[in-house]
Amino acid sequence: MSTPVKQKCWLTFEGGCQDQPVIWQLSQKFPKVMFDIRQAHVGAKIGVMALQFTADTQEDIDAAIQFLADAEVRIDPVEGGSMVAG
Amino acid sequence: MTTATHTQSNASDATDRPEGGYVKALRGRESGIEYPIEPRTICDTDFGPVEVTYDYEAMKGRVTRESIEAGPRSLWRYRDLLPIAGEPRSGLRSGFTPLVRADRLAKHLGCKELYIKDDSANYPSFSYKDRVVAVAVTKAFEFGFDCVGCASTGNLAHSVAAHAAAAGMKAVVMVPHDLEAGKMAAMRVFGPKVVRIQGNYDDVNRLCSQIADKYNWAIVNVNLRPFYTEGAKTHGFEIAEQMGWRLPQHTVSPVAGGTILPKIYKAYKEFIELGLVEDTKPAMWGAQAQGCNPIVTALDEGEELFRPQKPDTIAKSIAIGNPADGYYVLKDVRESGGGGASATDDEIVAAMKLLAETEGIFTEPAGGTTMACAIKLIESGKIPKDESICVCITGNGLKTIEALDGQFDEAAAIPAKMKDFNALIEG
Repeated sequence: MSTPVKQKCWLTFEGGCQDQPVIWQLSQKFPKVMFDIRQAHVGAKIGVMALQFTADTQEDIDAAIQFLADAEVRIDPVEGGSMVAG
Repeated sequence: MTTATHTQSNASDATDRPEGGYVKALRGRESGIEYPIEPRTICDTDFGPVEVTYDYEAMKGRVTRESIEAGPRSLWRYRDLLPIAGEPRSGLRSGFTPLVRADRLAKHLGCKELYIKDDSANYPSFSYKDRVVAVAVTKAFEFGFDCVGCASTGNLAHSVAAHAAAAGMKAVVMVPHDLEAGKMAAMRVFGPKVVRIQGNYDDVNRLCSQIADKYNWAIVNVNLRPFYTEGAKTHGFEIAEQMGWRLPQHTVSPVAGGTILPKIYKAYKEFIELGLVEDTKPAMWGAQAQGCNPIVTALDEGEELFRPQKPDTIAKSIAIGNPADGYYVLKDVRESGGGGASATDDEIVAAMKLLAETEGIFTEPAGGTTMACAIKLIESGKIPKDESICVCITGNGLKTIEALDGQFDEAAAIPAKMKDFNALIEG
């Protein structure tokens, strides 16, 4: 059995996508990609969420991230450039 | 009014520090989870930032005004409050820059007590970045790295290149492709590997996050960030010490990645905690260019979170649309009772000229931004004219002379004859 692939991301929701059930859609569309919410802040105009993805392959995670990007969610790597973290 | 208390002691107390200094741990800023001192940026649980913690109780009576005053005339006079375990390895002449009592500028603005903390005179690269890099490079040595790097809008790359050269380390610096020519030349002379990235600073920073994961490099503002940012406290320590061990009622600081403002505030709080200054409730004010003002916009709108922006300003060194520590700028500005302002490019240039003409200080557009915002805050009455004000100038104008293109008429050129000179002056 191969070692699962993990990826940490900050998601930023603004410009309307914060009002959409994007995370629920993600869970329905990519059942093989687990995601683990580590923290979240939601404001009137913007929301941010820290997620860790886990999947069997990087391709699975990349497809999930592409789905979020297509839904106009901004994705940043956790280790820098994040909105809440430093 | 209460008087600041501090323990009288001999300067020799500086040698009384515990082995490894007063550093306790890295701690998640939100989670409170502690980690050992290691190259780490985030808390594994909530992915929030980690911060260095210190044993302030152990410092009391040992870290005193006298012990600090007996230290070197550099940022290392505050080494007990910095996260190094051994001896400083870099920046031995960095810091301790002038705090200028700006009476001519104060008169122009109708202020009573105005100071300029002038890091345009910092050594060796003429910006406040020499503070953070001195600490980061020392820490890189302690962790056993032989290569340092950074994501930079210019000043940080310049500083990393200079400090690495002096320390005999390799350097790889990553910058936006459209960096000012002066900054590019100033960093290249030190011999680092320079990588220009086709994008803005935020794109550079995102890439650097991935680079830090892959290569065994000390990217000072990524995997050494908790240590690097601590160096910015020395800007605040110096303000307090140079004002005669007291705090300005108002501090106006630029906001780019969000490092310096929260760290100046932390410096003030540490001095208060140690009884080195009286707690006079210093207010912190953030300054941004109008073409890149995510923090000031969030302050104006009363939002807890800021929205990233695409920068469009001449103040390139603070053109960071997605500030890493922006959340903490908002928190500290609000907690301190301060606020923010932003300035247009024209206002930035006008403020650069005013500072130069009144105080003889030539700053870059980032400093012009801070100055322009301070003027706005003073003129609007948000900062009272009869209270003490410190404006933090963080970079030197000689690196960005193109910002002044078209600002001056061509100077007269005359024959080398006395009659022509007289005609010019008297005519």
